[in-house]
Amino acid sequence: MKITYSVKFAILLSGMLLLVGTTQVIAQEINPQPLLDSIQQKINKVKDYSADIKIKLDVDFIKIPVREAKIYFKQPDKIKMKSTGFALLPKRGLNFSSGDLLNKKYQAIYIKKELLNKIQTLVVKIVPLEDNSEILLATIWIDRAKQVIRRIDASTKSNGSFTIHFDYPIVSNPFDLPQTLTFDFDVNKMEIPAAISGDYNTEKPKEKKTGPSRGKISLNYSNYSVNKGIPDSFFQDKKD
Amino acid sequence: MLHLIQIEVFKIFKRSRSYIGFIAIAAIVLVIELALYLDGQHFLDMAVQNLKDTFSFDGNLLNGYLAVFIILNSLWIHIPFLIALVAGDLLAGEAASGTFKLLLTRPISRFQLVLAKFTAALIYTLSLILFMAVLSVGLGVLLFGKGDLMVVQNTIYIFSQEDVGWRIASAFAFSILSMTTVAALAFLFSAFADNSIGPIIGTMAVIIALFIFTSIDLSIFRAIKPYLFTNYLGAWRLFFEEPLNAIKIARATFVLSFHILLFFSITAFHFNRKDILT
Repeated sequence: MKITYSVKFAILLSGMLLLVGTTQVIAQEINPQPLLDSIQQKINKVKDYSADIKIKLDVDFIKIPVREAKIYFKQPDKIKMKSTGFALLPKRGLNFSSGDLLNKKYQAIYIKKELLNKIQTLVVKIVPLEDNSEILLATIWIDRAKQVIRRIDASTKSNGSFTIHFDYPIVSNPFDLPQTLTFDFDVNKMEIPAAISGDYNTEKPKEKKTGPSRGKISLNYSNYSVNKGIPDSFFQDKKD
Repeated sequence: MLHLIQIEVFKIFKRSRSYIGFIAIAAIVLVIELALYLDGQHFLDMAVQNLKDTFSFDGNLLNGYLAVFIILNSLWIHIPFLIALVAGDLLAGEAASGTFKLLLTRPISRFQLVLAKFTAALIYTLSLILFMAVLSVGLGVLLFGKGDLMVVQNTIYIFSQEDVGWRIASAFAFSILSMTTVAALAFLFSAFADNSIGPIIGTMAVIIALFIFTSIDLSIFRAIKPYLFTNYLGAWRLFFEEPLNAIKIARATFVLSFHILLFFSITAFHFNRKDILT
């Protein structure tokens, strides 16, 4: 029996429709919203915190030893660091709060299940719906068992993209605050005037790196002090 | 021999021109540190503006160690002139004033005389660098206090306060070696001249010419660059890298030491055979 072109097309179309339909069914079988609401509630319980941090910066053109500092945070995005020596933190992503993302209007789309560092996670795309949102699109990996975020990939309007990995202590703290945050962020190689660099006669690299590259910073948290009431004025003397 | 060296050192410090170096260094250190004290924060803010676009800072980078680093950068090009001013006069000055014959009537060999004068030049160089180190570090720490040091080369290094002291000490120690090379060159020219202007100008001309050659990116210059002592005059900066590049430091030390030995040997050889007419 000969199969005509129109029959072939009908079979193909039916197959495609079936596939799309099946995908939608699978995608819709998990509604991420209750999980996100639960996480949001947990995050919102932390109004402010301070903690000791160890900062390990890994940027190819910056070499700095591990620094110790105290970090202060207040919802929604106030952050301040005090260190004994000189320390630097990336601006991109550091003042990002999961609460800041989830407390605004957004559309959540369940994508898939994924094993992330041997932990079963749900991958959810968050599309902020407010015009003034700095985040354009975020993908979050949610640990369903612990109801915490394990990873965020975000693209921003003006600060490039960044990724945050969250590691939690084996023994959970009451607020499920992370033990280690690892930021991956865009960083541009920068020029510093020779007056301070003294770079008058050094051997230049044959190929000068230009354009953006990736930087990484690990923040190891300890001695959390949560909801002690840090006044707004505490954050105001921040110069930059 | 020790007595001979003492005499030569005494002769150096008896001349008023020997103090020009100390006065110049004192003035420059004072002016730079006061300028940094008055306008340093603005200068630093502008310098690290690009860095601030990406990072939030905490801590003060404007401290005594940064001031020392800036001074070292500003002065290492100019100090050779101050060294040549004295070292270029050691043999030529005797020839110009006609005191060689009288000097050589003493029961000393010509080699001993050359060695004593060169040792005196070395002591002068050492004094000048130590003076600069003590003044810049002392005044810097007094005005700004201590702190972490940011050094920008091909990489931005930030050194902990506790990790800076030995690096600065090593940098100054290395500067003594590099400036001794300049002193040896001026001393060599001094052996060939009958007045001190020639060796001073000659030393500076050689240094400037070699600097220019090494800064022009032509393959012929690139080939000879590793063997030129001028390529290593600023190698004290190798102590402000992490991890420390021991091979580069060893190479720089070897090339400079070799030049010192070479210049001194030629000087001694020439002076032994020289007709002393005055």
